[in-house]
Amino acid sequence: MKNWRPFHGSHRIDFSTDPDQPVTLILGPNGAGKTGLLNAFTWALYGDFTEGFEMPESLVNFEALKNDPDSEARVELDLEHAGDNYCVTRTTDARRQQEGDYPVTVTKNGELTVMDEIFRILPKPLKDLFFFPAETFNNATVLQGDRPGEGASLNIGSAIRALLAGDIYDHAAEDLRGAIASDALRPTQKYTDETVENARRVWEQAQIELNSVEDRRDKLPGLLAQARDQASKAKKEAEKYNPDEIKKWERRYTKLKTAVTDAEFLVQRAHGLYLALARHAYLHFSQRASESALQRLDIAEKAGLMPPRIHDSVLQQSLADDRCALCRTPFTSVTRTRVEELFSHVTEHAIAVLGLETRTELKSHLSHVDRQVAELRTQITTLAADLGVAGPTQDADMRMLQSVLRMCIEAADRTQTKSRRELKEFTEEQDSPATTHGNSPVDIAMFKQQAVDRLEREFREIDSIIEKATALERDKMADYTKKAAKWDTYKRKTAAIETLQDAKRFFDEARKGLSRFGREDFEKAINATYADLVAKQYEIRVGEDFSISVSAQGREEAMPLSQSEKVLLLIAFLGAIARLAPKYAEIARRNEQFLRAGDVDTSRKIGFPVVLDSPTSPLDDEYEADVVKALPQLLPQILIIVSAKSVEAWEEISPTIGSVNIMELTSHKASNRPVRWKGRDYTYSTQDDGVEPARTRMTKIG
Amino acid sequence: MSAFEHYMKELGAGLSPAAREVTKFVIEAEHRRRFSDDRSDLHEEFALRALQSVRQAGDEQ
Repeated sequence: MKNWRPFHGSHRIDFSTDPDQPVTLILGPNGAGKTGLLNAFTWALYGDFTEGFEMPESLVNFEALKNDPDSEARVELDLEHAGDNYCVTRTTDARRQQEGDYPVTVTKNGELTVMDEIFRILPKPLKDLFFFPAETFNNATVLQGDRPGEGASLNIGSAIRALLAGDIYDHAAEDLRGAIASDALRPTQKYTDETVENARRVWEQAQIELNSVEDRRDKLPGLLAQARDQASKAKKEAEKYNPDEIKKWERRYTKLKTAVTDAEFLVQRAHGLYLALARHAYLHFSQRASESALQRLDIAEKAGLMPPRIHDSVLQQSLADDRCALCRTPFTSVTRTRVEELFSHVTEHAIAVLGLETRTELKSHLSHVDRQVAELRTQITTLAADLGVAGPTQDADMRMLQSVLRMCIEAADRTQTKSRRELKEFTEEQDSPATTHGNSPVDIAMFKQQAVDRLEREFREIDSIIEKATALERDKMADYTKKAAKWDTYKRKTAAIETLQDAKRFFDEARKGLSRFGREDFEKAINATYADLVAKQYEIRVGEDFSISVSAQGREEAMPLSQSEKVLLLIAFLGAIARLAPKYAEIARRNEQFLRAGDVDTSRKIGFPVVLDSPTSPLDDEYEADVVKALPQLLPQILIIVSAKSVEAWEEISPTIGSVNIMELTSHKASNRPVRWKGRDYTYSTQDDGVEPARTRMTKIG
Repeated sequence: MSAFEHYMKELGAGLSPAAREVTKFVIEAEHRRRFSDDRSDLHEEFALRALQSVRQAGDEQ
């Protein structure tokens, strides 16, 4: 690979080709590009991706593009089949990837050849079977072993027919339908004989109807596979969100949502109080000023200046009379001087009265200020208690209240941020049970299942509908042929139509036969494969639509399977087709489809390789070990891309592993982690703030 | 002989000489065009081949 997704520069993986060591193990942390690696195979071979592959328009490594905008992504795959060496190389660049333009070069034994050579060996319908994404293992939507129609979503029928070159018969039947309706077999002009013209029109109508139902029959397996897949996923969703789960989800969601609302209210309260405190800031200054003024007035009172000891009118009268207005004693010059001095002081009487009044007002004002500050103090004390912050003291003044309120605001902001983050994480981690259509997951699952039921009913009935349509078409054709017989020009055309219909019948029967006998081969192969993986006497039945069910030998009812048995059933499903593939490829090469289909035995010694992305991800530890131990029994070559979570389990089967590789991740998000393999530590992931986006490097360690 | 082979042989034996000719022609053409996306001309090609086979069969009679 060169500049493929997170793999900057050139990287090479040597796959084990030793059948005694069939496993190539590739360990990769999350974010290292395990799915990207799986898709390197599908892209190189088919120019296509597995389901759910994200951003297919960004294939060229970002870092490479940053250094050189003309950088190319390239994946080269070397294959050996039947003694021939093939090399498939696919490339793209920044511009081409936007248009899905991926030029490919194929060589066979060093000579240029066409892609068809590869498709003959690995037909495209095998893509979803041989390159198996983690998502399918995780969803486990494919096989449980006890549900009707399981496995049909993988369209094994199409894969088997493709392996047997049966797509040729599919195409032949379809093209013959087109040939029958082609212009070459139409009259060059309308029959002048109205009876013949009517017969022709009636036949053409019958032919159109037959084509339509046959077309529907051909599409039905695909539609059914799709519907089953959707129904299975919907059922899984519904199971995930059973009423108890929904209630639990709702409780948790409501709790977190309420926490956010409460936190937002606390923030509002804190900010509101701060505003109120600011508005009352004058209180702080007026309190100080009032207290100071009051203090001075008190001193004046103590000094006898308030109220005055004699009223100024008495002194004024005494000075006017030159004798004391109270005792009538005449003033001496000394006395008069003293009274004049006293009068000059007592003229402040009005001010003294004003001072007394002011003191009363100031006391009243201070009392009001105290009440207002006390009110703010109470509110701040309550808020602090709600936020778990130490409240103000009983005599806290405005300055102290402001300090406490600042702490309250910080605490409220923190609470709000935390509650919002928790709610966001919760809703992002889990799919909401509420749907866009407003239906419950159970309703959707039922609706999807009804769609499957309808298609299955149609599938059962389609053959008899086709039979009737065929009979009608033949009848109308016979009538048309008979009536047109007198016109020599058109006699040959009706004869040609009948010839094409005979040929089409041959191909229709060949298709049916390939499916029927292929199904028998597949049933044998999956039983043999599953027996290699699971040491229990199970019997797997493969239905006409290639759906499967598992039961105890000789019993009809479905068997409950353990978690690991279910995953192994899915792996056996893939393994069976991989074991059949080389044998079928050889049969197709020799054109012996009719001779040998239905009579093919398989073994673990012969089979095409499969690539499995995280096959053990849905399993608990105890089941994981079962699956890991079974995998080397599957095929002579198997590639497993997996995280090092259970590296010990893989180390247990190290004698069967021929190649061990690490997808070494460097990223600003990653942690510094080693992986231990056979007593040695190897770099698994490295944290580096300077690396954005993440970078992955392939390292062979064994 | 396998059951499948037997069945297909019987089916083949039931074909008229003209239909057998067309069947062979179709198989060869489909093998050639197996992986080709453009199949638009095959319909006319098969129809013309059927007309030709019918004419040959008529001439032989």
